[in-house]
Amino acid sequence: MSSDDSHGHDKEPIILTSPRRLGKGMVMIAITLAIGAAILIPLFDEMFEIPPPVTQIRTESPAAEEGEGEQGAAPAEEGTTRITILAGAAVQGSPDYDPDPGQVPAGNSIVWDNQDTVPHTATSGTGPQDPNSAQLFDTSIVNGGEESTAVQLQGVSEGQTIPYYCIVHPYMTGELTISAAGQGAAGGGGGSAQSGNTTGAAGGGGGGAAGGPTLTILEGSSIQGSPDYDPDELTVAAGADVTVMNQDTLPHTVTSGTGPQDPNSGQTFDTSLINGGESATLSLAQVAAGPYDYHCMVHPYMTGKLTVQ
Amino acid sequence: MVLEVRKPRPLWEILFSTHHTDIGLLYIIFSLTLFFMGGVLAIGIRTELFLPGVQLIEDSNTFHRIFTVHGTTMLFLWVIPFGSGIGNYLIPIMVRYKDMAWPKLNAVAFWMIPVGAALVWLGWADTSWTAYPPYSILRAPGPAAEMWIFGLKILGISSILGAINFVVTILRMKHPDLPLMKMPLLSWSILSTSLIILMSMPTFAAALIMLYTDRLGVSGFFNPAMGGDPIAYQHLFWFTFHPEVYVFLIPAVGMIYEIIPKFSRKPIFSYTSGVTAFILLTIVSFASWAHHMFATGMSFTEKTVFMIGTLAAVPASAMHIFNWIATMWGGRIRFRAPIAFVVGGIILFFLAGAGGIVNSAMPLDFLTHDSYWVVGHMHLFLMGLITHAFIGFIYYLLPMITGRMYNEKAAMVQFWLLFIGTSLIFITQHLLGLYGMPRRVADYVPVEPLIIMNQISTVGAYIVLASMGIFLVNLIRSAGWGKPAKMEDPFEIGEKYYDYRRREPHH
Repeated sequence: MSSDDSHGHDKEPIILTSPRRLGKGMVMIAITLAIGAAILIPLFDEMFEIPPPVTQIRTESPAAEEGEGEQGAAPAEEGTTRITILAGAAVQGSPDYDPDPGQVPAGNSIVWDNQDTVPHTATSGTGPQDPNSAQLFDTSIVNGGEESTAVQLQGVSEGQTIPYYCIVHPYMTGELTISAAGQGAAGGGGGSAQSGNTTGAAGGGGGGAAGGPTLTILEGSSIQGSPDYDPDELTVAAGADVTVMNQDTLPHTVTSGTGPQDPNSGQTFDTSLINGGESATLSLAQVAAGPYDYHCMVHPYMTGKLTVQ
Repeated sequence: MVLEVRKPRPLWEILFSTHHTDIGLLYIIFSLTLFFMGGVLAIGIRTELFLPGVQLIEDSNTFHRIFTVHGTTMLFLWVIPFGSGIGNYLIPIMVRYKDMAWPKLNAVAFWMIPVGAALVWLGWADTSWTAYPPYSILRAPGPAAEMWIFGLKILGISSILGAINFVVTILRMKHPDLPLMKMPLLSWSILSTSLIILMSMPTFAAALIMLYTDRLGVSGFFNPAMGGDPIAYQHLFWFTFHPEVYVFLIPAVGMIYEIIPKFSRKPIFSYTSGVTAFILLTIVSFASWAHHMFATGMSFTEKTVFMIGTLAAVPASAMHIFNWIATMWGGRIRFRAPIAFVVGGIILFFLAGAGGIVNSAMPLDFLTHDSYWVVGHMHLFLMGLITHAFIGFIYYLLPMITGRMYNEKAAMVQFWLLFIGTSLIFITQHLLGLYGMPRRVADYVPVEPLIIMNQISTVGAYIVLASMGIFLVNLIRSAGWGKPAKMEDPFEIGEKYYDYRRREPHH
């Protein structure tokens, strides 16, 4: 019985796939993919443009709520724009500066109110890699629950957008937009206002100033990702002596070169080990003008830049 | 293209068919197409990493988008649809029913997949295939991320529908004269896979909705600024996707059980232990999800529980491997391409499994977490065992689908290139991880060991590319112009081949 059956099956011809049908099928696949590509290629960047709606909601509503609450307090400090560093800003991806972008009437000074529990800064520039970082302003560390000193922007024009970020958490970024001078604002004349930029790169540039340029190794530098050298980019006059103060509890060095793998590491200058809490003098008498990378031999992720003029 | 009994039908009839072989064919062609597309992306990634610095991909955003689409494609558009395709082809034949239980549902389940694929491929999200918050809700740019979420949603529903259909077909439509314990092990594997999908997938479906409402800002499940917990997403995600690892694996295991006894010309060493191991894997797959999250700050007790849960999968997997080896032992093995791929796959599975034990040991996991070790481990498993077994099975099934034989020599050349290439890429990546290379980066520190190992890995990728070129040409040439196969026994191994006209038991 069963052999009869299989015999019957054998007689049925098996229809093989023909090249023609295979070709048709492949053409169908190719056309589908071509249509997809024609849609995708012109839109590739546009598909990646819209920020998630949640961020738009969160930048608007808290501003409105707090606006009511603080409108009463605001007139007391006329000519001051307040920007809040929100609680939880230290968590990557959370909302950070508020409002962002902040509208600053020309001539106003700015105060950052750190409502988070950990220290933050507001430092001009797009990030630690930005060569112009902290040139315009830097609040330096503002501890949790405290307010920064008032920052007066100088040399900015109306309509300009200024990016800034937090040195401690470089993913916290914000923007300031300079708008027309506010009503009754103090006016743009405040040339004497302190910028808070005490450690800016320009500060060390004088060279001849009493005490000479100072390079500080901040406390906690040994932890990867923490701020290390302050200022990170120091400009000094040729032949000057730089005082290196190690405020951390662990030993560090200031050694020329991009890292321990750099074949020229330590060739130009090297303080060798500076114990925690001690200072050393870096003599640049033999060093030619130009930019130099330096790092810490003990913690190669601590890097900085020294420019000799 | 499908094997047809009376006369060739117009292609659109296959396209809109509800017959299980037609849908199986669509699944297989679709998944192979996406496999090659995802492979092109992989080659792009490896080319970028050939040297430190910028090679091919200029900004890291594009790099993130590329590896996200690569991962999503390979997992959800290659491995899962291919398994369903083989199931569609063979399950009704194996349980001796005329079709799947619900043919129209079957067609719906297939046609949702191209829709999901289109959403993923037109959007190019940058969330990586895991889409961890808070990045995916607070920063990932839309509409790409939204399209990814909806694409995955549709793919998830499609898997659930397919799984329901398989469970009902196997359990209810099985011929009454065919006992459950006489079914081929491939049916058991598809049954286990479908049960895992049914139990695990709803969790991820819920997590996707929560992710989307979080993005909209109406909820804050995973949004720390609104009191949510990003780690909760990881639990929901891995509750689905650790079992899903077995959804990728078990169909391949079932295919190996089809190939090994036939080409060894010996019955399976122990059918019962195979079934037991499938059931064990189905259960144990739910006991290990948090081993992906050892580094998230779980308590020691939690970590220990999940470490032991993970190790519990080892005996079940070892039962399968032992079963295969014992079946081959003393058999008169005829080394045609299908069994060559399977044996290569078993060797690489053993290596991947050994690496997996290192990962799952909680203290060692801290060393390997988020490093290239993990990339190497999971790719060795997906490329090594699963893709090897799948390609072997395509060769095995080609006579049934097209009525023609493939080119044996080209297939063996492809096997050696694939085996060597896969080993070069992914074993090296384990070492890269131990050396400290993080995953998901477009650039790396230019030091000699990293450069050399990345270059070995990239050369391996090019070898795999060559093998896949041979594969594609072999498939096309054989499907259109190959020698007509002797349908009783195309591999001349003295074993019965599938005959889809034969549905009665005791035939």
